Amino acid sequence: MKLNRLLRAIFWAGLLLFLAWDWSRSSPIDLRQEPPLIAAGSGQAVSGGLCAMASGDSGS
Amino acid sequence: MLRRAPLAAALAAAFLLLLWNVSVRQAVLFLVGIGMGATLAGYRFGFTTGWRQLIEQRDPRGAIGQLLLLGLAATLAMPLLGRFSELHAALGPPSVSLLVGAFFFGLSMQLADGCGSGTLYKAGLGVPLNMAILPLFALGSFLGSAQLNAWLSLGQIHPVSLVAEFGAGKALALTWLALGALAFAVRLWAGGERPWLSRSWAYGAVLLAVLASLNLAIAGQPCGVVYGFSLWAGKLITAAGWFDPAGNGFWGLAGNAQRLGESVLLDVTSITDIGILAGALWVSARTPAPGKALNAQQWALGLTAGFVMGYSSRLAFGCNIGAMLSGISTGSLHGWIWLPMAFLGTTVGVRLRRRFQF
Amino acid sequence: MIRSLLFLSTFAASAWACAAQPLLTPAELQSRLGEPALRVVDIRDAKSYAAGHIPGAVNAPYGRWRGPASNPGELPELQKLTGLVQGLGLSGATHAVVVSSGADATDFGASARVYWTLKALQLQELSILNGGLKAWSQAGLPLERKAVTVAASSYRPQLDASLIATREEISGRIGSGTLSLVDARPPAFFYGETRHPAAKLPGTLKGAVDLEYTKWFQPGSSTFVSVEEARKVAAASALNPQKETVSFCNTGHWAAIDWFALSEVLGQKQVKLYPGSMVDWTQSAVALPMDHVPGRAKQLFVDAKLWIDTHL
Repeated sequence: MKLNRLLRAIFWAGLLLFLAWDWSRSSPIDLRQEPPLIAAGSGQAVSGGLCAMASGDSGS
Repeated sequence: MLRRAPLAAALAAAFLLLLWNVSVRQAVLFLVGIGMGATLAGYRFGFTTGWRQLIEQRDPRGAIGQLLLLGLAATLAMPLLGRFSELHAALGPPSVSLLVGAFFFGLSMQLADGCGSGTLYKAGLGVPLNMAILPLFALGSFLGSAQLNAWLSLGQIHPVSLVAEFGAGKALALTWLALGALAFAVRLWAGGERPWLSRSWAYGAVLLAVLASLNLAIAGQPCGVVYGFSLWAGKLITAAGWFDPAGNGFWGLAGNAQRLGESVLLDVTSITDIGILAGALWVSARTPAPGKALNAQQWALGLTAGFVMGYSSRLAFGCNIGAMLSGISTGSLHGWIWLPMAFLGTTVGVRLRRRFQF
Repeated sequence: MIRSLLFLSTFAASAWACAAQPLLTPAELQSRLGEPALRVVDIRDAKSYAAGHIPGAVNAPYGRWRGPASNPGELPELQKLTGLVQGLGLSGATHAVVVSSGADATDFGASARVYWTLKALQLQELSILNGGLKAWSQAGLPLERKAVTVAASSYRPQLDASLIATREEISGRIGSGTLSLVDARPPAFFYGETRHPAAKLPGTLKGAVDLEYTKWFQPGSSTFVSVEEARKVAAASALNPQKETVSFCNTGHWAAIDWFALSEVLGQKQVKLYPGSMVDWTQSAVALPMDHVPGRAKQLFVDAKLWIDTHL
């Protein structure tokens, strides 16, 4: 349906716009601090945003 | 109609952009997310639909498929957790909010016709209701997180990690036992003549289990869906000046405050969300979107349910992915509380669906 | 009159004799083993030490003189170093001779780094056994196995800042032309083809010159060259001996060799070591000036190579 195609276009445009907006106003990414590809066995503990957490910092 | 070649090029470009400007890890997690989205959409692996079919038609295949997924995911995740100390489980505190949140999540997901992963993959496929629900879901989950501390004050206990308590081996055995008991109950309800499983559910379960374990090994934490959306809504609302994170018990904490300020592309859950959407989009290039037309009342109910789903998922420390799949497969007690409560809510939700002729 | 002259001449003679040679051959060390002020410090691991060491030597494995795995070149806290040095019975009155295995030129770096650390702790009488225990054994000199205990000293040193270059100092003066920055690493590191696993970026300090540590050794050996040879190496390097010089590498190990060569063997003034070196520099919260930093593609390639090397 044409309406559906319009809705899909709006949806994806909205998503991409959000990502572009967020990129423009976020602190620049320092690639030197990039974490290793695989966390397992890397020796670096993780502290990302997690659904299960009740507080701001997760894990060890 | 979308064509696969330009779509593939767009996805490859996105991957390279991430690789170049964000990090190798996020770029690869994006690929894992695409895999999840393609699997969910390609096999129509809907948790919501599976439960509904079990209840209304006594069709066990979806439920058994999900139990298989939980078992396989646990078999991969628990040894990983036992072996690598850098990884951690999805540990949420058993609490009053968990009981309330899981129940209402199970209820509302039937009206929204999609849980956490379901909403994402259906939105990626192009189902109008689910696309419209996502922003409301984000808003709801943000509000839930902002008010989480108030809910937690109603009562909570420390998270319980089966792997930490019993070791990976025993935790896995316990998990399989419990899953086996559930499978037995499903079988009793469905009766002996029906087939246990179908190919879609089986393949979907295996693939998702593998992808979930990859996510755990790479990101160091099990996959999640809800946190990303609450973060996106939080950023927008804070930028509009309607919210001050510093004054909030949840968003004022160091990790969350930092994530509000840095790019969403650095957030693991956000990348998973974008990946699932992209993977489902890929599948949609060959498959028509499911779903039928809804009347105004059904739209209103669906959208409201989407908002309630977002809010309650935060109270419950995750949706079907973050709390049930990740919680149970990494041995968190809160996942085992989430499941029955959500199922209870879903029995009500299914009845409401019938009432409003969905 | 004569008494004061005698006193003065003895004083002058002893002062001249007090300035210890930076390098000792095995024979020279052997002849001085009986001296009460001499203390041989064996920096190999405890197992190698127990298997056979120079008579009277004490053991202080290299790791004790160094920083954590995330920044190995970092100088340990003064309190920790004081405890270490006291436990070895060292003080201003002792003559410390640093001994390592002598396996290769890189191993000499360990001795040079410990030598530098001791000098930064204001010890004056310092030497390195040229060629290490390999040369000692090759000369047929005896080893013993019994453990050696010494009385702890009560030496309380301060750190001599004139030997230590800090990140703040270098970043403040980089580009001003007042510092001569000497990279002791092989060209592959200097040109950003590879990096130390703990360093965040490949490349070198902005404006640095490469003077590979191997140049100070007879090819394929761990024996430091003669003073005349060293002078030739320095002259060929086109370094300016009048400028304040900072020697650096990845973790201040190879850099200690360049420092030792310029400061101790050639007697150049104002030569410092940057102990944390490139690992420390690239970990700075703010990106600091560097040369020969490859683009993202090359960096990812280097990351992949390092991962393969460590895991496979």
